[in-house]
Formats: sequence, C-alpha cells, structure tokens
Amino acid sequence: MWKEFIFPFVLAGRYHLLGTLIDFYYNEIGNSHMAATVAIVMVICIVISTLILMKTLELIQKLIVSR
Amino acid sequence: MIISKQSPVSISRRMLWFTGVICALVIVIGPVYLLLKYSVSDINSINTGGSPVPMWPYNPTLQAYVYLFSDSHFYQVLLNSLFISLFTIILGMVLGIPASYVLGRYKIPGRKVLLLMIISVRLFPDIASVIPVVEFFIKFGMHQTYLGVILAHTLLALPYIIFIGAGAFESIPDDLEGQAIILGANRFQTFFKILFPLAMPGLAAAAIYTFLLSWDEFIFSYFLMLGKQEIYTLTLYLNGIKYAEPQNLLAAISVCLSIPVIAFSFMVQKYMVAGISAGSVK
Repeated sequence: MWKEFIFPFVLAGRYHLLGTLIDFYYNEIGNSHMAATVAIVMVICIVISTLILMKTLELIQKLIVSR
Repeated sequence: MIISKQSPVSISRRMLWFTGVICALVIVIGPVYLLLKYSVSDINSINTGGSPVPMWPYNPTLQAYVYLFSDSHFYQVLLNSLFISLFTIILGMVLGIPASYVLGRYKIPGRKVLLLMIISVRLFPDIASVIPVVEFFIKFGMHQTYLGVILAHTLLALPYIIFIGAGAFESIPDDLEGQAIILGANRFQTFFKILFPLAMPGLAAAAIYTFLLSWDEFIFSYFLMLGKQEIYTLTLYLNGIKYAEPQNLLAAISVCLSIPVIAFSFMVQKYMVAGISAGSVK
C-alpha cells in the first residue's frame, strides 16, 4: 500500500500520500530534489515495514508451532 | 430406487460454499456491470435528483459511444495507445528473447541469482523509480516522445519477459536440441525451427502481459508525456477528463480501454495451451 498511486491521485488529490507527494513536488512545484527525497523515504519505509512484517509473522509462526 | 439423504452439516457446508461463490462473483462482476451500466445510461438515470440510482438505466442509450467515436482526438489517443503497446511488445521481445534463451538454456554460474535480481527490480515502486528515469530521458531528449514512453514501458516489461521466457526455454528437453544438432542443424536453425516454436506459449504469455502492462500503464506515461497532448495515451486521456460530467462518457472510455485487452487475450490464447512439447521426444 505504500506505493499506491492511482487511487489516492484520483480520489484524494488534496490529501497527499507519499506517492502523490512525489507527483506534487515533481510536476506541480518542479522540485526534482524533493521528489527524489520523498521517493527514497518511500523505499526506506517499504523496506522497514517489510522487515517488521516478516519478523512479526516469524514470531507468530513460532508461537503457533510451540503450542 | 435409491434416495440419497444429506446430513444438515453437508447442506449447510454447501450453502456456505454457494454463498462464497456468489459473493466472489459479485465482487468480480460488480464493477464491470457498473461500468457497462454507466456507459449506456441516459442523463436521467445518473442525475436522479436525490432518488436512488436505478439498477439499470431508464432509457439505455449509446449516446456516449456515438459522441466518443465522432471525436477525432479520441481516435488519435487510441492510435497512440496501440502504437506504443505494439512497439513495446516488439522491442521487449527483441531484447527479452535472446536474454531469456541464454538464461534458460545455458548453465551460467549464478543464473538463478541473476534471474531473481532481474525480477526483483519490479518490486521497486514505479512512482519512486520514475524520477531518475524521466530525468535521464530529459537529458537525452526523449522526454515527451513516443520513443521515450516505449523505452520506459519496455523497461517495465523486460523483467517479466525474461523471467517467463527463461522458464519457457528451460522447460524444453535438451534431447530435442541435441537431435537437431546431430541431424546437421546449426545454432540459429535449432533456435528458430525447434526451440522458438516450442517456447511460443510462454513467449505469447509474456507478449500478452507486455501488452496489458503498456496499455494500462499510467505512472511513466503521465510523467513522460505531461504537457504534450498530441501523444497522450488512453489512460492519460481518461485522467484529463476524470472530473468531467457526465459520467457515462468516462464509463464509455473505460469500456473502450478494456475491450482491446480482452480481444487481444482471445486472439493469442491458442498459444497459451500448455504441453505443446509433450511427447516430442522419442
């Protein structure tokens, strides 16, 4: 869901998510540096949340197996 | 005469299963139905003045389609989409087939890691990777050009083409290639007369996927074409009028966007039949 663009772009253009914020900085303000920074932040968020999810699932699996 | 009696548990299980199937059908068909309904709705069935919107329009009309097909700009957009999609398939196949042949047929060290790396490129969000790609294309003068969009779409499709193609080439038995070489065929003949036809189902699946990807693609097209309406694709055309009234026109465009995808899938589905190479080795 971090990388979703089309639905927030069409349905909630005024309330930016990370994806639509990249579009806002790049196409509306013309600030490619900020757009690239937001893109990097998005990738970091995806990596961190994936790791957290994987660890949580591992933990749940261990709990279920130990019972 | 045998009368089968079903236990209440089995009847309730069946009912549950049946309800699940109905729910799944409603979820899948519902949006398509709404799209079709809106595309043939008359204005009174959309603007009902507060009363509930009818399940089917009061007076179904093809007015939206007539308007759409009398607009020359729509034809231009349609042709743009078709042109970009077809050239994306051609370029993707020209680049992807040799790569997938090598990765599928030769035992290169680290082949699996390489394939994994190629496909994992697509895990990177499009909206994040679009900035460097667009900046690169601007530097080389390919921004707001057909070539730029075709190259960008090819970039998106190549990992899938290589991954699917490598699987298709890998599944062909080695004996076939060996027999062809023993009978005097060179590498090119073996590839074009033996391996390529047998890998066709997999490659056709890759071509279909490439077409669907390019036809529906929005993010790269939007960033690369913004400001140049002459080369807009259907998705950008739809985006340009997304808040415009009446909604039946938007629905009609969406139907037009969906029809070629369905038609193209039907056209090449014969290549999708699995097991074409079954029994070819004696």
